Amino acid sequence: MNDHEALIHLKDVRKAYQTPAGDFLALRGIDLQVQTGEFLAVVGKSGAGKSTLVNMVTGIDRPSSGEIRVGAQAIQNMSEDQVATWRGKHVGVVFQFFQLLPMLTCAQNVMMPMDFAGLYSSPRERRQRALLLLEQVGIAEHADKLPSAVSGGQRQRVAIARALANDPMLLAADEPTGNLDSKTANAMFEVFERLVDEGKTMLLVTHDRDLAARATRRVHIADGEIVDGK
Amino acid sequence: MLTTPWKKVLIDLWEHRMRTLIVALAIAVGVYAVGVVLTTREILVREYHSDQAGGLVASAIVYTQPFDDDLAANLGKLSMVAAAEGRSLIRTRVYPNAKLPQDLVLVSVPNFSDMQVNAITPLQGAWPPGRREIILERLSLAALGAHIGQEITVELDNGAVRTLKVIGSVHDPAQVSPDLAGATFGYITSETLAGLGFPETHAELRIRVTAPAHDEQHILAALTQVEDQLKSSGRTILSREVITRSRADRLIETVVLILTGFGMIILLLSGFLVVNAMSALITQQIPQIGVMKLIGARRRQIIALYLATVLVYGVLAVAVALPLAGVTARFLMSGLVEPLLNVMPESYAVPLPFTMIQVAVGLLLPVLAGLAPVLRGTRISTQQALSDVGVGGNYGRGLIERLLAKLQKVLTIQRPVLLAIRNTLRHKGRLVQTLVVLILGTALFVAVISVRASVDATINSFMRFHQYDVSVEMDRPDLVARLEQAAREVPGVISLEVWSAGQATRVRADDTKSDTFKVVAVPPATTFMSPEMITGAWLPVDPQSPGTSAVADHNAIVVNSDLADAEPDIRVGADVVLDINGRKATWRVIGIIPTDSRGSTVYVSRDDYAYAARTPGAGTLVQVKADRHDAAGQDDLATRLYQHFDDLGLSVSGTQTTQVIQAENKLLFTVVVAFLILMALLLAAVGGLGLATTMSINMMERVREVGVLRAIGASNGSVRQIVLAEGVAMAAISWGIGTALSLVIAPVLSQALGLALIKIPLTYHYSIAGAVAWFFILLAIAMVASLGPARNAVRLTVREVLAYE
Repeated sequence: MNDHEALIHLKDVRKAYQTPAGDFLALRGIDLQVQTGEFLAVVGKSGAGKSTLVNMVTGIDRPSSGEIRVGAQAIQNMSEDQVATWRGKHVGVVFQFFQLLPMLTCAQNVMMPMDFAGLYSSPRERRQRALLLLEQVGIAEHADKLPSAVSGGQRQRVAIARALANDPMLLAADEPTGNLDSKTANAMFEVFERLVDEGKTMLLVTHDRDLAARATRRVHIADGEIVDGK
Repeated sequence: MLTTPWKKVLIDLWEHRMRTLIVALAIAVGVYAVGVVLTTREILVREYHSDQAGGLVASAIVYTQPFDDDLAANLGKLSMVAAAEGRSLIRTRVYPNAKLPQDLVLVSVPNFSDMQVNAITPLQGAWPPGRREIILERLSLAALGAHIGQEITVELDNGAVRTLKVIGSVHDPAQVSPDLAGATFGYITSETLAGLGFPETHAELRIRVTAPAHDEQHILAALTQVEDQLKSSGRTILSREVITRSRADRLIETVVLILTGFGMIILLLSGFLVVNAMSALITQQIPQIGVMKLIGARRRQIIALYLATVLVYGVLAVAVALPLAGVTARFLMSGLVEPLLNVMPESYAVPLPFTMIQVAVGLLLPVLAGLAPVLRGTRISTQQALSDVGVGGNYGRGLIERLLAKLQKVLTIQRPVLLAIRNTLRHKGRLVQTLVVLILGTALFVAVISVRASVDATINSFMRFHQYDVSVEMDRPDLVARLEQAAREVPGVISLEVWSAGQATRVRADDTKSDTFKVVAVPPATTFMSPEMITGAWLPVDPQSPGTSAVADHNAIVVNSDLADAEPDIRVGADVVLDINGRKATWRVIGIIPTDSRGSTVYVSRDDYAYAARTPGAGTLVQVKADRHDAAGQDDLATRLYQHFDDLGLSVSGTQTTQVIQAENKLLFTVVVAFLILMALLLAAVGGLGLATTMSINMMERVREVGVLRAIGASNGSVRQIVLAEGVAMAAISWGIGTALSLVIAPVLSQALGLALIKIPLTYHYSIAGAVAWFFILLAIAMVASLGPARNAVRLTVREVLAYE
C-alpha cells in the first residue's frame, strides 16, 4: 500500500487514560493507512479500543503520542477549535446513539453543520440540501419532525444525512447499527455501501462480523493493538 | 432569516419554558431591586428638594416682640440674609363635620403676591384671599373634610367665634401631613387677622439665609446679624429656631439608606442565583455542546450561542422589571411619601441614565454571571462532552461524605434519606451558592421582620409616656381640685391626674438662649408616666422620701435625650438656668430619659413648675384613664369630657387620645416600615427562587436517575420522598444558619435604623414569629420546587426516561 496515496495515516499512535487504578492504555502503538474510497471495518470486542481509534481519526480525542494525518492535516497538532472546524468540513461522524439535538427537527439537525461551517450560503439553499440528503437516506417526509417523533432507524438516517451535510471526504461510524434491528441495520449498511460507491471513504466500527464482512477491508483490534488486517 | 444555531437558541428557550421563566425571574428580581432603588431614590430626593426649593423654606425663625413689614424688609437686606418676612400664627379650633374640634393654625401672610420665605403655591379656587377669607393647605383641606366655597367656624383662644370662607387650596412645602404635624393650616391676610382682633404686626420673623442655606454655622452667623439689628431696635429675642434638617430629611435619608443597602444585597443574591442557574444550564447542555463540536462548531460560536441565550433571559427580565420598578417607585411616592411629607412632584420622569443602568444591569448581570460557566462548559473536549451521561457532580471524596459514611455505621439511616443527602452533596458548588442565597435571604428577611417588630416595641415604649387614655388640654391654668372634680363627674373615667404643660428656654452661661422646648409637669407619684432611665433618677416621688433629700432643696428636672443632644453640656448633676414665662430659675438635672419622638422636653414636678410659672395649685392637662381603651371608646370619652367641661364653663383647648398618639407615632415609621417590607418580600422572592431554581435543575438533571430508581422498583411515592427530603434538607440547613445569623444582623440593623430616624436605637425585639413563619414559607417553597419536577419525572415511563436525550 502506498503511503502517499493514503487518506488516513496513523503512525505509532498511543492513547493512555488516567484512572484511579492507574494509567489504562487504550491504544498501544497503532500504525494504519486507509486509502481514499476504501470501506474499512474495524472489528473487535467491547473495550478493545475500536471507538478510541475512530475518535483519534476524527479528532474527537487526542493521542498521547504518535502521528495522525487525515488528508493533508496532522490532527494531533491542531487545537480543539481547529479540529472542530476541520471536522465540520471534511469528516462526517455517526454514532450508535445518534447524537441528534432533540429540540431541532430532522432537517434543522442536518442544516446545523452547514451553518457552523458557513457553507451553502443562504438558509434556503441549506434547507434544500438538507431535504436532498434526507431524501437520499429515505426519510424526506420526516424532515420537519423532531427526532423523538421518528423511529431509531430513522434517527440514524438523520444522523447519516447530517454527517453528509458538508459533503465530507471521510465518513466515520461508531457502531451505527448497534441500536437497530437487523432489517434496519441492513438497510443502513446499504446506504454506507452506496456512499462508498459514490467515492466516500468509510471507516466503520462494529462488532458484527457479518456486517464487517461486507466492507472492502477489515482490521481486527484487541487490547489496543491491531492484530489482524494491518 | 435565522440560521439553525440561532433557531436552536430560541427553541431551547421555548422548550424549557419553566427554566426560562425561573432564570428570567431571578434576573428580574435583581433588576427590579436596582430599578426600585434608583428610581425611588432619584424621584424622592429630586422632587423633595425641588419642592422645598420652590417653597423657599425658611432657614430660621426668630420669635421677638411685635414688628412690622418695614423692619422685616430692612432685615432682608442684611448681607447674609436672602429674604426676611414676618408671620403671625394664630392657633384656633375649627369645628368641621366631626364632633370634636380640630386645631387650625391661621398663618397671616403680609404679601401673597411676592412671598420670599415659606412661599405657598395656589392650587384650586381663588387667589389671593380677601377679607374674612381663608385658603387651606391642600392636605388640611382634605383632613378637615372641607370644600371650596364652604364657610368654616373658628374658635379663638378667647372663646370668640368667627366665620371664614374657604376660597381655595394651596401647597405649602414647609408643612408635613396634618397627622404628623398635629394641626391643620390655613392662610389669611393681615387684614383678616386684624378683623379677628389681632394686631397686624408680626411675632415671628422667618428668614432665609444666603447659600449655604442649610449650613448650621452659616445660619447662626446670619442670625447674629439679624438679632443684633432687632436688639438695636429695642426688641428682645424671645427664642429662635434653626432649621437645618427636618424630620422629613431624616426620613428620606433613612429610606435612601435602606434602599441602597438592601438593593446592593438583593442584586448580589440575584447574581448568585443567575450563576447557579447558568452553571446548571451549561452542565445540562454538555452533551449538546459535544454534538455541536462534533459537527464543526468552533468554541466561540458555541459561546456566542449561550451568551445569546443569557442575553435573552436578560431582555425578558428587563422587560418585566423595568416597568414594574417604575410603577413601584410611583406607588411608593404617591401612596406613602407624598401624603405624609406633603411633596408635590412635578414629574415622575426617570432620567435616561437611570433607565440605562437598569438595562445594563439586566443585560450585563446575566452575561457576567454566565460567562464563567459558559467558558468552562465550552472548554470541555468533544470526547468528554459526548461521554457525559447527564449525571454530573462528584460524590465520595469530601470530608462531609466521609463523616456521613462514618455516621451510617453508627446510625441507621433510611436509604431514600441517604440518597437524598448524597444527592444534595453531589454538586457542592451549586449547593454552596444556593445555601448562601438562602442563608442570607433568611437572615435578612428575619432581621427585617425583627426591625419591624422593634418599631412596634419602640412605639409601645413611647407609650410609657402616655399611660392614660384621654388628655384634655385647657386654654389656661385652672385649679387642680376643680379640674379633678369636673373629670370625675364624667361616666367612664376610672382615674385621673392633672398635669401642666408649658414652654421654656435654657439660658446658657454666656447668656445665649437655646431653642424653645416643652416643659411637662407631673404630680408626685404619677402612675401615668413611667419612662425607662438612660441615666440618673426619675422625679422624686416624694421630696421627703429617702434618697431624694439631696435634691430636695433644688428644683429637680429630668431631660429627654433630644434636649441632651441639643445641649451637650447637660448631664446628670448639672445646674441649668431655665426661662419659664420670662422668669429665670436654676434647676438641677437628676436624670435623662429617652425621647418620645416629640422633640426636646423637660420633665418637672407639678408643684415646682407651678411655683416657677406662678400658677400655684393649677394645672393645664387633665389625663384620664378610661374604662375602655379602644379608639372608639377613647373618642367617645374625649367627646363627653369636652362637652362636660364646656358645660361647666371650663375652656378646653383640645383633647387627644392615646390611640391617636400611637397612630401618629406609627405614621413616622410608616414609610420606613413599608420600604422594609418591600425589601423583605424581595429577599423572600430571591431566596425562594434560589431554592426553586436549584431543585428544578437538580431534577431536570436526574431524569435518567429517576428512571433507574423506578426500574429497580422504586414507587412514585418513593421518588417523591427522595426529592422532597432533598429540598427540605436544604431549606432546614439554610433556615438554621440564616436564623442564627439574623440574631446578629437584626440588633445592628435595628440600632442603625433607630439612630438614623429618631436618633435613638429602636427598642430591640426579635421576631420569633417571623423566623417560624419563614421556616414554613421555605418548606412550602421547597415542596413546590421539588414536587413539580419530580411529578414530571415520574410521569415518564422507565423506557422513555432511560432513552432520554
